[in-house]
Amino acid sequence: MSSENLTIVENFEQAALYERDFEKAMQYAHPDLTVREAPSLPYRGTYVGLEGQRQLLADVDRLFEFDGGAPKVEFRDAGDDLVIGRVTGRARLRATGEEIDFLVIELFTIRDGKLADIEVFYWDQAALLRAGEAERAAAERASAERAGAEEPA
Amino acid sequence: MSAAESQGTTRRPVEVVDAFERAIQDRWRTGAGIDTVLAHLSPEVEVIEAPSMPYPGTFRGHDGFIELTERFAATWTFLPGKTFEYLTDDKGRVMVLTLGRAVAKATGREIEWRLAELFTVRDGLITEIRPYYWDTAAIAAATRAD
Repeated sequence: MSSENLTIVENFEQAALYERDFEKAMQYAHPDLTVREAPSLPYRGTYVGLEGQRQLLADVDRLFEFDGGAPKVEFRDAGDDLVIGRVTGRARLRATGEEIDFLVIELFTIRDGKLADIEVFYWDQAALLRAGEAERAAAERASAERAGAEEPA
Repeated sequence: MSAAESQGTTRRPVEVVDAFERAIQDRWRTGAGIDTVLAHLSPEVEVIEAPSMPYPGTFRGHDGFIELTERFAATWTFLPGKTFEYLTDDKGRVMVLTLGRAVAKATGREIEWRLAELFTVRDGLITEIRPYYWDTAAIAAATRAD
């Protein structure tokens, strides 16, 4: 069972993270798969199912891009129904151009042979919060400029 | 004598980390000496805290670890009911998931304590600890007196 769990997670992440094919990835997951992000992150809360996966990718893509397209992920079986993913890489924040270390632990829960839940722990959210603030400020500036352009002379 | 020397180096990584966590908890509860904690740590141990933490940076060696524990104790009060879950691949890495609630001493703010700590164990001693807090921004906010 343990090596099966590892294979399920590896197949899911290969499709989702490296191929960005979420319909393929969801073959290895329950339809109501949950991805839980911390409450303070710019992409906070729980993302559910196929649409949740697409929304999470869109939310993440707005904020940063990975060097080389995707980070490195090491998976370890942790017994019972759990697999640990250790994500390491470099990313560039789109709003500020800042380069950051991207260090994340993911806890994958398997239920009945399919992925049921992913809980995500960031080593340090601070840079992502700065990126979220910068993105919000840029959006507000753009909105103000549009409003100004639409005002009658 | 370190725990590795006294018990041989046959302990599995998860046993080393479990003994370390028990020693830490004993110290919190009873004020027991630090030596029983240090016995599980390599003299070159590194604890790597994120830059936005109230105790940021890399704490090296036993002296560094002691400094971190003092800063940690000055920062938090734990509420009853803390639980630990050990997740291990038995290849030298162990993850401990700690759940509970804590109060920041500086502000009185209470937070959910949800921490995944990644331990590296070599030759029966812990050589690296990297804590991944569930919500580092909430930690920073709770501990910052505005």
